[in-house]
Amino acid sequence: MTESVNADPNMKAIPSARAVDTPKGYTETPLWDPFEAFMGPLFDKRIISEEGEEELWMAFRVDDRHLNTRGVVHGGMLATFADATLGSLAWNATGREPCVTLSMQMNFLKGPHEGDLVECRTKLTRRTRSVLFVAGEFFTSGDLIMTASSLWKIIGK
Amino acid sequence: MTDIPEGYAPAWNEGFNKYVGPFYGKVREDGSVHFFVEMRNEHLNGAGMAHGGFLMAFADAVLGTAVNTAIDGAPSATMTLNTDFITAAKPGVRIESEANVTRRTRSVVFVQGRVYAGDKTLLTATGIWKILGAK
Repeated sequence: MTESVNADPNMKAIPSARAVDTPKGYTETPLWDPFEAFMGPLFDKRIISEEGEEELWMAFRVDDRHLNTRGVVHGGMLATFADATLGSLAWNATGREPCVTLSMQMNFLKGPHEGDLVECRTKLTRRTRSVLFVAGEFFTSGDLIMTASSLWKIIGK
Repeated sequence: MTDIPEGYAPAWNEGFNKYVGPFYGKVREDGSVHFFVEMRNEHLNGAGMAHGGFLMAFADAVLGTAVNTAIDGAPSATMTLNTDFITAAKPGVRIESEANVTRRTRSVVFVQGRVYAGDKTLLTATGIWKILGAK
């Protein structure tokens, strides 16, 4: 088991509202945001891609808290997960300087169901002095279900 | 307890909306939709402001309801959602949102809206919804 990308020995994580089994290959992500703990837990792993680059992946297991009235995952839950995952990449890419979301664009391809593991592969597309461009691809069982791209402002820069 | 104005009811109050909300909503005479939610500690980020995911979820709910109203309740799903974060919101305020449909075709609906607190716009959103089963 590797250490979570967001591990910080000086901060006390907020316990998630539910206990969920950790998916194989992942570790539970310590959460600092009350809203993410309310919807969580979340999980993360770092892998080396075929191109030899380190990639941050995150995941959550769909349960009844995440569904809309049609019984598929609520767009708002996928948006929340995107904000958490792309924000984790931004926060770590800046050496953990505080960042805020400037914009988020999401395309929804397919609706995951209860019990599905939703996984996100994050990518830092561009970094300027004050802004980060971060993209994500989201999968269930290897099928692309959503894409997202986002802008993050480094506070004070 | 929340003081619920006349004409408002909890919107799509199951699953996510019930757990995170309730989001109270009303369809206005012009077909636009107005929602409000009382912000709680569970809605915050680590900086003590409204979490971006919460604001996007609230936007998705109000835009989706404007779409649903325009297509008389036919099943639909978000295809794309674009959000810009204008300013942050502190806890203890009533968060409101409104949305209206800008165009409807046979198979898709274009919708726009915003999330606000008092006279401050927090987030602007545009989206395209697919009418399920329509070609």
